[in-house]
Amino acid sequence: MAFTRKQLGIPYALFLLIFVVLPLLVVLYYAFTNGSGQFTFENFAQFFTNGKALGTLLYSFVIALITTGLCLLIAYPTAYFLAKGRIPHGAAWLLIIVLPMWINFTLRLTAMKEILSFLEGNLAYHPFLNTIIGMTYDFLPFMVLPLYNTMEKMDHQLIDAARDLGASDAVVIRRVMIPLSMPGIVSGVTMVFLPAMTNYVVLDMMYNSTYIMGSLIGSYFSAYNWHDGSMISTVLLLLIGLLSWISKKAGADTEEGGAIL
Amino acid sequence: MRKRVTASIWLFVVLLFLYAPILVLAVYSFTEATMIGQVRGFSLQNYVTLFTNEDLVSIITGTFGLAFVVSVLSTILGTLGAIGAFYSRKRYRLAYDLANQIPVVNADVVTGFSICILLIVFFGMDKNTYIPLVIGQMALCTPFVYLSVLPRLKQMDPRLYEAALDLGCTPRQALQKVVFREVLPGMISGFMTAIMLSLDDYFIATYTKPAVFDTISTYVVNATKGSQTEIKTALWALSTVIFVVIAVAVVISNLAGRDKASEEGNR
Amino acid sequence: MRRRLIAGLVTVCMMIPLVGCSGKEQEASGEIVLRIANCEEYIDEGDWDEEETIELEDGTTILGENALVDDFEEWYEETYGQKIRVEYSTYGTNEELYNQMSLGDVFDVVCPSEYMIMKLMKEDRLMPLSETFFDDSVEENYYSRYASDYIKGVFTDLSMNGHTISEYAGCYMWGTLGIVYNPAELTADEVAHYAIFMNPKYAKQVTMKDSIRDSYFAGLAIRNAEEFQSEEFLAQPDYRDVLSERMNDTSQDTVDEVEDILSDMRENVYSLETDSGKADMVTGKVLANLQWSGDAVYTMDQAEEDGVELAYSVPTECTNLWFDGWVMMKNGIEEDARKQQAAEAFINFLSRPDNAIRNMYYIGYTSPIAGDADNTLVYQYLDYNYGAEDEEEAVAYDLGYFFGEDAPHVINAPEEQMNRQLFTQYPTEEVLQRSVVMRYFEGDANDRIAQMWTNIRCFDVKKLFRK
Repeated sequence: MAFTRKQLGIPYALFLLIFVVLPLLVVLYYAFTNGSGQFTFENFAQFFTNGKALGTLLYSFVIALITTGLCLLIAYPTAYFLAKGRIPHGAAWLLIIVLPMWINFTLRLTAMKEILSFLEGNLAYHPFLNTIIGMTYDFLPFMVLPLYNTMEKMDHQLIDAARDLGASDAVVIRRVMIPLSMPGIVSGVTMVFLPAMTNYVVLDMMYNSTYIMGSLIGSYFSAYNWHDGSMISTVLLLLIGLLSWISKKAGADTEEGGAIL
Repeated sequence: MRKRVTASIWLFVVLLFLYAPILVLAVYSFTEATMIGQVRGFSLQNYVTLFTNEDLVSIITGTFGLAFVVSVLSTILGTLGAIGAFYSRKRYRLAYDLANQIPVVNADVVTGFSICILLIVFFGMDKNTYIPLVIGQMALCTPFVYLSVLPRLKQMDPRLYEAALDLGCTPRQALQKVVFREVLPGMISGFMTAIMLSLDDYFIATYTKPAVFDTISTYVVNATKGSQTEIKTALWALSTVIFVVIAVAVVISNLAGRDKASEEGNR
Repeated sequence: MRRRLIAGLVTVCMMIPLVGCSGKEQEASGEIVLRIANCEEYIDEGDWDEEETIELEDGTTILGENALVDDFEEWYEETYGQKIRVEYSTYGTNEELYNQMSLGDVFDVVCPSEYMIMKLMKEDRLMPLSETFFDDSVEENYYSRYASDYIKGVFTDLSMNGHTISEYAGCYMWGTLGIVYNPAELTADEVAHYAIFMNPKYAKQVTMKDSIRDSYFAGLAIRNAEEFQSEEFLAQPDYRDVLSERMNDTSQDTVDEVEDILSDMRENVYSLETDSGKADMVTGKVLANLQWSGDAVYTMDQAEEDGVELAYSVPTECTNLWFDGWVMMKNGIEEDARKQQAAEAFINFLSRPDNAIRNMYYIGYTSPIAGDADNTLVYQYLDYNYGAEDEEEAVAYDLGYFFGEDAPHVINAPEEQMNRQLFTQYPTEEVLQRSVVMRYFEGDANDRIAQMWTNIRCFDVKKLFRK
């Protein structure tokens, strides 16, 4: 058989099928069955009728929203200043912002934790605040990157043009900049929002003992309860699907991924 | 001018937020203090512990060894995948893209949990073979390699490959001499991303690793729950060492690539 | 460890088909490989300083130079003439161990707590100890010869599937559940009750264990506190049985009530900790901490080094009497007689009085080894540790129940030891009167409690409306 370039993709195609698609199917299978292997909706019914489980969903949402908002608030001007040349050597500064990502996140969080416990004395007095600080600290570079990438490509003459036509700063930001940088915003939000809902290590390290969605998987995992663990995973998968669909609509360039350094 | 000052101050504050914890810890790693705020004398004890404590040494080498193996495998697999997908029909290409996107957007917890469910619960595979761990991390890393190689293929002049064939290359040679050379930068950046993801990973490792093996992440999470201050402060030294190594590497690679960068910058 | 990593990776590189890679190790000819899993920081790892040498009255000196596991390898080869290699790994909690074993990790000898031993017995995963293990005429059978009759008695009382625990397990450490506290800040009355953890006066200054069973125990004790201290309850002829019954109650109503108690408690505590409680007590961040007796000893020792005096209290409601024991796994030993011999030798080696002392010194927990008329090392060690120098101010502390009534076993200890290390390591008989062994919760009961534990960690939507 003749050698074709297409065939090079076969190993990866198989890999994706077996180790990416199949695991999700197995998770679905476990989510919709009970201990004796019968099909059931009970796992979900229990989740959505139990006030406390819904509370967890809500709590994760609130944490994720605040973290994402805060990251956006900090990252947007930063990326703008760097991309628009307000600061010389923008690309080099970007590199410096991204650099800490190379240090393992648990080590970075340890550092933040030490600082906070020095400042606050007792971390447990402000578990919520500390969680937000920890998450923002952890995820900020993930927000700066995509924003920088879109803004760099943005046509700055449009902004100048809007100004020349008499638009105020607020109008320029609302009507020109934000729409133009939308793809970056959306891809940054997708990169931060989901981890913020699931990264329970940050909570644990910040003495916040309230569960988020990720902790539920962890706790079901340690109780060897595959069915409920899969159920939570499925709920998260639905959310992910929804988020991806929204970001696709908004035209995010997710291909920027993390491939920067 | 005023705008420039505002921008500089803003950037300074952001950098302070990102760097202060790391730098403060770096300073304290050279003292005998066990908590921030204590004033104690200079000491290299943390660094001695870091490089002599058997647990720590095997964890560090294990983590980096794992990252290296995972990244090499992911780079090979992802590059071949990208080339294969790029030359496939549009329908297949979309299927590749879609499946590839799953681990990118998925939460790490779910990726780790689902791999664990499939390989260990469903197939009953032994964690001690390290296969679930390596595969799990590959599932996380390979898509990023794919994503960084694909744009290179798009930029490549399709006529180059045809020309190589016309000049008498076999398809295999053409691939080696033309295509691989073109995608090499993408492979390198994919490889680096894979290294970074593997080093940073906690969730996949914790669900798939053998009991006797710890990565830096899983170890730190357990150690911060523990009471051994000796280990705790040695970890400060570890983060300092990693930081310095990375900083030096970045500076060197930037200096080396400076001419090229400034050329591109002027364009 | 690293060699296995590389070996594992090579297998991956060679893309060996998925099935059939159970990873059985190539054993070097004649060498026995013993896979041991133990709790973290739960064995003497050697490397003591010279001045830490323990010098007992009869001239025996004990010093942990090498890790006990290394010493075992050496001792085994000397005694049985066979080479042995121990693969030692650790886990954080019983549940983690169970989880690891359910997910394919295979061990030969593991050290779970009594309830997990019962669970493993129920699932028929344990290998019974051989008859020779209990033969007192064999010099090396240290466990059978030297373990305290009191502990052996409790182990024969606990049974599952018609077998007693003692047929399967050699006790490693034992103790009570209580409260370590800072006597400078808290009064003895306050810490005499589990309710201290809910006291708003000490909000965020007390810690609770991140462990379903221990927290459930404390919650249940709070729920029943009044009743347990009433005179009628205490005067019942079958008091201990009733107490045990009540403290193993897992009916839905009870679980719900405990859930409410623990939800409030979680809001009040500094954190749900697994291990950091020790460190936080020493730094003074935390004033009281629910702890197992062994960790309590370790905490008090550490605090003493930093000049802080801590004390231990066993609440008056009741306490959880717990045991950790070494058991052999069926799927690890696989009827391999050599392996079984090695596994049992390991249990015995740890039970040799000098080794038991090394462990006690190193980790702070209490070994069940008491010795006998000829070997009094453990008792001497107690006297060496706690015997008062000034006889006049000393209080007599009777440990006859543990060391045997045949000879007087009364330590004259300084009065302060009555709520410190001595009392923590070896509780009084009176404390043991109100002790309960917590059984293994089966099926539904286990699900109920697991769900309760998840619930208390969740953000309660109702709270938003309550305010």
